[in-house]
Amino acid sequence: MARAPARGSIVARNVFDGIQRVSAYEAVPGYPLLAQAGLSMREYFAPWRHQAWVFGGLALGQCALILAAAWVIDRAQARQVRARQQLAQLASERGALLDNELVPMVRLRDRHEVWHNRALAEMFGYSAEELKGQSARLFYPDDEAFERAGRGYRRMPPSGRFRAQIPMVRKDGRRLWVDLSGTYLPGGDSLWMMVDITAVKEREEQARHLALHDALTGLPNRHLLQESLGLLLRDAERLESPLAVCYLDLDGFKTVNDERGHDAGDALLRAVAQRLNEQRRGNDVVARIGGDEFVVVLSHLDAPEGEARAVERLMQCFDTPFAMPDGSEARVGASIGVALYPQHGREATQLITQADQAMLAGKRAGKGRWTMHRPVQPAA
Amino acid sequence: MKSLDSQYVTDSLARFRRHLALGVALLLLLVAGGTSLALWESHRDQAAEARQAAANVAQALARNVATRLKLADNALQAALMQVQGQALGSAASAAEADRVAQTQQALVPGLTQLLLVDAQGRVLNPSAGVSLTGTARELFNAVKAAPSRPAMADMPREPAGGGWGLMLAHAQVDADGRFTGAAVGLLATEQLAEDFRHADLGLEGVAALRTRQLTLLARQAPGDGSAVPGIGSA
Repeated sequence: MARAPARGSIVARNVFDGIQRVSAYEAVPGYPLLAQAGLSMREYFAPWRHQAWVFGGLALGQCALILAAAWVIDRAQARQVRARQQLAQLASERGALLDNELVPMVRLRDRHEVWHNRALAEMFGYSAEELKGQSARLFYPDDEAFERAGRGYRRMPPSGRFRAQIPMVRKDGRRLWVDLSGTYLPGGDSLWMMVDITAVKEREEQARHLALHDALTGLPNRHLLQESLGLLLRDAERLESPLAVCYLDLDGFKTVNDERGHDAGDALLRAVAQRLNEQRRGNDVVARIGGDEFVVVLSHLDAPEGEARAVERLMQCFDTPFAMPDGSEARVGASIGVALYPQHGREATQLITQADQAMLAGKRAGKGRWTMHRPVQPAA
Repeated sequence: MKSLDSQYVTDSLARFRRHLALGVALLLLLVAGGTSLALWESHRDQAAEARQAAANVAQALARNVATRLKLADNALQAALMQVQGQALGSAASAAEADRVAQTQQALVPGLTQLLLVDAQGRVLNPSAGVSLTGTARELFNAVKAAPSRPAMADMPREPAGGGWGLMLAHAQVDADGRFTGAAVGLLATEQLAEDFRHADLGLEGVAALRTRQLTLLARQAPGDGSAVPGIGSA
């Protein structure tokens, strides 16, 4: 007030009523007086306080919204991180499953490698680097097999699977039998799984051989004989070519077997089988159908009396003694019954039976000869 | 590829939460700071507005008081002019002085006393019932010493009749500039306070009139219901 005697203002709390006021004073013009007006701060600021409460409430609301949003974001992030962890775990597990040494797998794009596992490289004998980006042709033995597999793959529906057992080839040239299965992947790639079934195929072949061949001599057995004779008969019919079924029984084999033992008998049978097999021409079949009995099918007997010459050659097989493993020799003969296609029959079983009967008739007439089947003449 | 084991998840979430908490804290700080700043600014504006409003009221009050005092001074001056040249000591002149004084008193609300005094200090209107003593004499001496300036007491006075009043004096000089007498009036502070009643002070506001020495002459506080307490104190 000393500094501004004419007018001024102060904010002070009144000691008597305790009210804080903003007070202004003004000198009364022409008189040594001061007019003073004091307005209550509480009263004057009432609208401001209301506004401040509104603002404060809004600010608190904003803070609550921010905290709520942060909570939601935190929950979402936690869920996302956990989902990523599960995805990574799945990817890791998938990677461990795929990149194994047991099941060869390869991922192809346009029939070119984009990924493969260790088992595949190991199965085909390549290093991982050698297979990078290579065409799948590398695994096929020839272009035809590659194209055939490609055609099968192209016929596969988008949601389907391709599966086939096909031969493939290793880097060192060794053939493999592979059970190949493939499926489309999203994005145009395809995933192929290959199982080496070479051993299975070999065992199958072995089992088939055992089922159709005589274990002692390696010659076709009765089943294969039936099958082969059926095929030869169809060829003969198609080509109108004659065919002879020769039923052969050894003479003197029982003596060798009884006197020199079963091993000698077996050796003799193997030697007979080898000698008969050596006489085999083209599509001829030599089979052992039991004991000391053999069947020889002679095909393409186009020349006149061709069957007689062929049977004579068979008989000549027994002209010389057979060498035994102990260095000794054994001599056996043969009785042969012959049935002809088409003169005596058109069925395999029928021809074999006729040849057997002819052989038995020949044995009754005297061993060491061949006998043509004689059809029974109907009674007049 | 980085392994996403449970420890990684825990660490990753902890790291994210630290960043989120930092971001949230910054946002909260921003909101709180912005709100505080806005409130502080508006409070400052409101305070300035309050100061200006108080200053406006004070200015209006000062002008009202000045007008009221000027009116009273004019009444004193008019009374002096009307009794000028009249023979002193006669009963007629005393009666005329009484009439003049009463007329002027009636014209100015709150002017509770009006003494017409000659140059020797003799009261010309005896019906006023008061003599030139105390503050009245001091004011008489003051205007006698400096006739060109009206005088006013620096303390309120509570006469025997009750109520507080502010004493004023105005001198009269002749054509030669000689002091010929003075008029002394008492203006009721209650009247001044009545003028304050019209000011917009709110329920807890207060208006006051003080001397330069801060002695309270009049006070109006709508909440108090009385304008009297404290008058005469600093």
